[in-house]
Amino acid sequence: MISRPLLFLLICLPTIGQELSFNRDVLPILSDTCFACHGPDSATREADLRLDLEADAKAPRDGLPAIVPHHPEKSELIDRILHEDPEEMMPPSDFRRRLTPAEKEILQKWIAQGAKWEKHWAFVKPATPALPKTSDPLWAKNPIDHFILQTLDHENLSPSPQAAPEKILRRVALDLNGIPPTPAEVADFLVDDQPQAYERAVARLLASPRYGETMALPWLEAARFADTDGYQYDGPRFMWRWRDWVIEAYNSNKPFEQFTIEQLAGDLLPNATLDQKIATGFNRNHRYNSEAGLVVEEFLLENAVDRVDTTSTVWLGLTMGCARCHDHKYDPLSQKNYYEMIAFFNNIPEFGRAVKAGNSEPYIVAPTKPQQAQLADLDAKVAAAKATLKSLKKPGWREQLTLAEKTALVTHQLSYQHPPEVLHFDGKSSSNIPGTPLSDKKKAPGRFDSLSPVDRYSLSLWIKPHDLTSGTIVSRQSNGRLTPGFNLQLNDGHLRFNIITNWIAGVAMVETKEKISVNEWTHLTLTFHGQLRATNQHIFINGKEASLKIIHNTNSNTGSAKKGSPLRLGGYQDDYYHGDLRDLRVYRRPINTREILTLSGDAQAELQTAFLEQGPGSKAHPKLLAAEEKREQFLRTLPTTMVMQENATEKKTFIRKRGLYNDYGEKVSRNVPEILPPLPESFPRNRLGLARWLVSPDHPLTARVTVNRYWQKYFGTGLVKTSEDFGVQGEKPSHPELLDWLATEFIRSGWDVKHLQRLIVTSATYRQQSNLNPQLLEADPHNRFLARGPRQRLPAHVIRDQALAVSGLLVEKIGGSSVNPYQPKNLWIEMSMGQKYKQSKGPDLFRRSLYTIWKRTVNPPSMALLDAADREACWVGTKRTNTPLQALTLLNETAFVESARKLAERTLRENPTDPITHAFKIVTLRAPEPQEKEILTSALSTYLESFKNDPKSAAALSSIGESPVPKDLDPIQLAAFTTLANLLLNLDEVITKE
Amino acid sequence: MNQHSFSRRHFLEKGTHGLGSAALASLLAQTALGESAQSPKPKAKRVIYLFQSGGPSQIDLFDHKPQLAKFHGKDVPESIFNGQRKTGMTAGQTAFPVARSTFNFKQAGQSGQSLNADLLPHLSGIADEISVIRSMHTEAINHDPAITFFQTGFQLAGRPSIGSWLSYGLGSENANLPAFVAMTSNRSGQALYDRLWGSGFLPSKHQGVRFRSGKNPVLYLNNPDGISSDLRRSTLDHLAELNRIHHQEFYDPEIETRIAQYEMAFRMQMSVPELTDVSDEPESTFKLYGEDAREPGTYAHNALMARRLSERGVRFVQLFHRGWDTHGGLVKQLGQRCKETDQASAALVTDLKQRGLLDDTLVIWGGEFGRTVYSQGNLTEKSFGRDHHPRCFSMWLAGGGIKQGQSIGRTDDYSYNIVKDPVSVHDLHATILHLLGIDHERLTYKFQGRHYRLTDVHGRIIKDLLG
Repeated sequence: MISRPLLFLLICLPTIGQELSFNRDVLPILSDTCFACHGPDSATREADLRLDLEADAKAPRDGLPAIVPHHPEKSELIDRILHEDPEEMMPPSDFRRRLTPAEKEILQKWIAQGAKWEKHWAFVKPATPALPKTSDPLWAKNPIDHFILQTLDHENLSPSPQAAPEKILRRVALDLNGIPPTPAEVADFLVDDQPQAYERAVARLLASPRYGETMALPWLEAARFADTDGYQYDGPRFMWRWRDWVIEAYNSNKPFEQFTIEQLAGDLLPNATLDQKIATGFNRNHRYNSEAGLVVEEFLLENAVDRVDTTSTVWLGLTMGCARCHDHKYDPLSQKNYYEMIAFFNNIPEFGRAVKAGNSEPYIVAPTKPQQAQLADLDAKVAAAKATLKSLKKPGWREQLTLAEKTALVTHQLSYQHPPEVLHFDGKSSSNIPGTPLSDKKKAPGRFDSLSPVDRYSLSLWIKPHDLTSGTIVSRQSNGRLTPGFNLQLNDGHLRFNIITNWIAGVAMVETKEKISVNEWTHLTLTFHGQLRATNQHIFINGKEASLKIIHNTNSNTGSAKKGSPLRLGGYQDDYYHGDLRDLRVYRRPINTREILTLSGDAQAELQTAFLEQGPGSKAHPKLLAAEEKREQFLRTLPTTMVMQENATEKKTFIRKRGLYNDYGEKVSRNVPEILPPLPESFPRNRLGLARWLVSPDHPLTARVTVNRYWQKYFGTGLVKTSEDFGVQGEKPSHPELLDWLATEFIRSGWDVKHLQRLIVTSATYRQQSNLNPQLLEADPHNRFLARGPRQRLPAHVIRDQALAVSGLLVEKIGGSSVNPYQPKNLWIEMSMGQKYKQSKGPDLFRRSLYTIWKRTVNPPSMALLDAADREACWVGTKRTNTPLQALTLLNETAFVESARKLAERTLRENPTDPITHAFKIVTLRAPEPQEKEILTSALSTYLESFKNDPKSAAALSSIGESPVPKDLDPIQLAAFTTLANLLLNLDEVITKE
Repeated sequence: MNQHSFSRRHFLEKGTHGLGSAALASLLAQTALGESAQSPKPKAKRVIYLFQSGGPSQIDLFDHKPQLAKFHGKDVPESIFNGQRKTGMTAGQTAFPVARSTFNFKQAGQSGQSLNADLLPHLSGIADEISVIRSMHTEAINHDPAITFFQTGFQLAGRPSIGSWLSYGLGSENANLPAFVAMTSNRSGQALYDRLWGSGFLPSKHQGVRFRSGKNPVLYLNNPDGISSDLRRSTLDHLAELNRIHHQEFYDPEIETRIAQYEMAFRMQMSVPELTDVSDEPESTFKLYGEDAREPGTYAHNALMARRLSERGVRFVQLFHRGWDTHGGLVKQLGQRCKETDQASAALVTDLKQRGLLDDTLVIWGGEFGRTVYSQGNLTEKSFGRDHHPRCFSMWLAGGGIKQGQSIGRTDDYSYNIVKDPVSVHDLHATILHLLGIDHERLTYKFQGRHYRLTDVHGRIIKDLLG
């Protein structure tokens, strides 16, 4: 068998006498053989010679120019590559790559022809090529086919006949909807003799919501979407609202231009909508480490690196990551270029350590449409309660108030109030308030139970410090200043509010920018909105919110003060408070501004509060509190999703020498690589500008890279085989003009994604039959010329979805959180840190595979075995292997066995007279040939015989899976037919798109 | 066009297209690596790598520092730290008190290797068989990047693991078993990840197959309840018949491959249970490995399985034992881990030797980094812990063409810095490949335009290690 690259070289090799092309014939040789030492990377450059630059290569170099056009004999390059002395020869004898005689000849000839340079094809803006003349213009159904036929003509190949209608319908349904058609749909299609029947079938498939789900999957793999963080602990995260967005974007045919802008920079659009913000989750799907010992600076860099690498692979088809540590070896991308790109993606308010379980900052509450309606309803109830209270404020209400004791105000969810006397702390001692329960009831919450790193609470107190240098004023911790829990400290007049889960790896520490005064009574309120985050901690000084500096925000687990720990006043042996303290209160909720002002003694606020709590509002106020509480409780059940945001001030970016986070080089600012068109002056220099630049019609890469991935989806291989690399080391396009035609057509159509899919699947090229024969196998084993239709094993998720669909088990519901289908027991616990897999029950066992929970460090095994991408990093290629473990999966995995049984049940009921033909038709969409029917019939009788002799086995087989065992079917017959269905679901034809 | 040279290159980069792995292996060993580079003669045919996940403490097991008794409780001098980074767990500590090891060390064997006599009595018994490297160092300071670095030569996810490189480079010696098998033991401790035996950008057939304890050692190996082996044989025959008919129509070689893979699946179903059933082992085996070896899921059982897999020609067997991450309560935790592993690790070496397999089986023992000389948290008489330490740590190797009964490298008085013969992770990888007859600079795979290697752009062969 001829290997693919070899074949390709043979195709591309120019015939003698032909004009050589720099890009096609010369650059690949120079790049792979010379650039490592004579290319863009300045650090490894030898002899100060660059062969990637024309001027450098042709420079006089003291009488020894590397290249003298038209004169190979005067060119040092030729002299050296022909040298036999190991000291002189190039590439050097210890280099991994040798030049072949043919390559040496090409270089000589090219110089003899004038050594003409060209810019690398992919960096030149595509022009719309004219349609080529071909041997059979009538064969073409659309422009694609002219380009394909031109190559076939050149290769003396001819197109294959059109695929049979049932084959083409199955192929296109699997490609566009990820699920095969039903026999009834095929039957309808077969009798439709109206023109454009196929086109109408395509239109139906494009309009189906399954289309969005199907298109989403490769995008999830490219976007490294997963349900866990990926590193070490690999805790859960929740990004399904982003997945919903992707499905909806494809279904509503959002133009790729908008699709790009919203995902890269939706947050920066004017008046960004919730959906546009959700879209930016694209660049938060990367792995994120929560490991206790990590150095946050290192992971702030890794996060930005992943964003740049993913964005450049997906949109530019460039391996920018190579320039992280040094200038790119092959492509004209410097290390500086790389960090200029980093500068677009490192300015987000994140803290470098992920929370162990849940979403990490920045994230937003992202209600679904129905939840948004519910929320609006709850908002309206709060507003109504407020309006009622307002209406009760009749003129003169202030005067009518008869105030009770001031201390009785602000009592809602007050869990502790210290007796009114002033406490004196001499800087040498402290006192404890025991954490006893508020009530005698068993299981009643303790007074201070809510003071945890996840719950909401507030504290209010007056202090009069005699010494501002240090001192822990109030705390609740396990056993000392640095142990889990919370504390409030003085630090040189500033106030520090610390929440510690695990010193020093897990600390949220905020400090007021202002200082308080010595020997003066100051009122303080701390409020905490929970969820482990320093950004949820607030300090109010005399009723006014203080501006805070976040010193640490690394809490990632829920470590808290030991149960029953007291509230401690006055600090610790190594950090006593010196001063007075009074009127300490603890609340089980963050109190609001009015309440804070009331407690700080603001007269106006006090009146307002008295009105609500003791005056005419006192009956209506609890209703407002209840409505607010209900809304709050609902808010806390809403899904959140991680998003991109920008820091108010732009973070400085430096080149990191050797790519190391702590090895700073030159300072750089946001820019795009100079090899590509410049970022227009009118574009903002941020992610939004970058996104608009990527989809500007002049961009040479975005459209080509994108249409190439679409092509790959249908034909198994892109027109550029290396769909992740369009650089000089990438493979040249098999059909460069077709690639450019598709790219320019994509732009011309307004980046219409469905239009592109339609073009491809309605082409005559796509509609050919996929049969091979010895001649075709010899001439084009990997079908790069496309003298036949695509034939490939289906992707992992399609194989499973198909089995569920044909058996009737599939539960179709668009979107929502991830589900946990069958998985062998203990797989997670054997490898993870205490995480157990909780298998779903009922319908969630049978959802489409794109909703299957994806734990990055322990992938869903049946998907992984069938070559699904691991989601650790961006993946845009295809992997398709053929292994014994795949056979075992498809034969034995629970979902496949249960699907076989349900297919058997269905068939036996729907067609009891000829179930074999019926089942065969359901899975292959054609009738069995007599020989096939014969084999299946004899097989079935063997299986029947086997189960007749062993009825227990029949019962055992039928009880696999959660769906109930039917009572109306003969168990022996069911088991035998299940075995047959298991065989059918393993037919090569069934697990293959052909 | 020189077709011959191109094809050769192609095989190196793309693996087999139609050619068997054995053919590839012969290419590698003879000519494929280029005329100029003498391919090293393979000393080892296979590897058993006993990975101790979490970072075993070198100070308490291998790197004896009796002089630390003098410094016990005193801060480590700044001159020793020399500005090196610490993990986020101890960087904020106000003191870094030296914690001496509380264990007894003895010179073991003729070679006089200094080993922990309390916790490693069995290893001490085979001290003359092993070579201890006391000067390992790594770049990573936290578990995930560190273990990923050890397994793939790179700290971030995405690269192929050592075993998958070997599967790609050398193929399998047994057509009925995978070339690369991974096994795990101890359900608590640092997490393990698919990527540790994954194939990264190499074709997925090279990924390690994890053998699990219990009756389904390979995922989905067993027939569903109710399908007997005979019935399965019969369905596979029918399946092959139908696929062959289809092949006549479509002529796609993939169909033939598929038929062959289903056959191999069946052979695996036959061979794996025979392999994992240790009831045929004599009593002496369990004396050697310990009674634990009867219990699937234990380290001892996995060690025994490693021998059984190696006997059957599995190229790369890797055990992962969890729980060496001794941040606190070190004495107890370390004792527990050694109790679980010492006897079986030594038994494996002895067993291989008795069977004449040690000469061409390389055994490697080690974790992802070492531990600090200073105590993490409070240092008390009874209890202390040690943080991660990437600057120096110890590993041992046996068999497979290494020089026995020797030590390589030396650390300073605090077991903090290396003072002689540092060995990097890349060096270890280069040496493993060398022992298997592969030049680490020439085993490459082109991905994203780059010719990737296990050793990236680094790696020197540890000459002193070679016999």
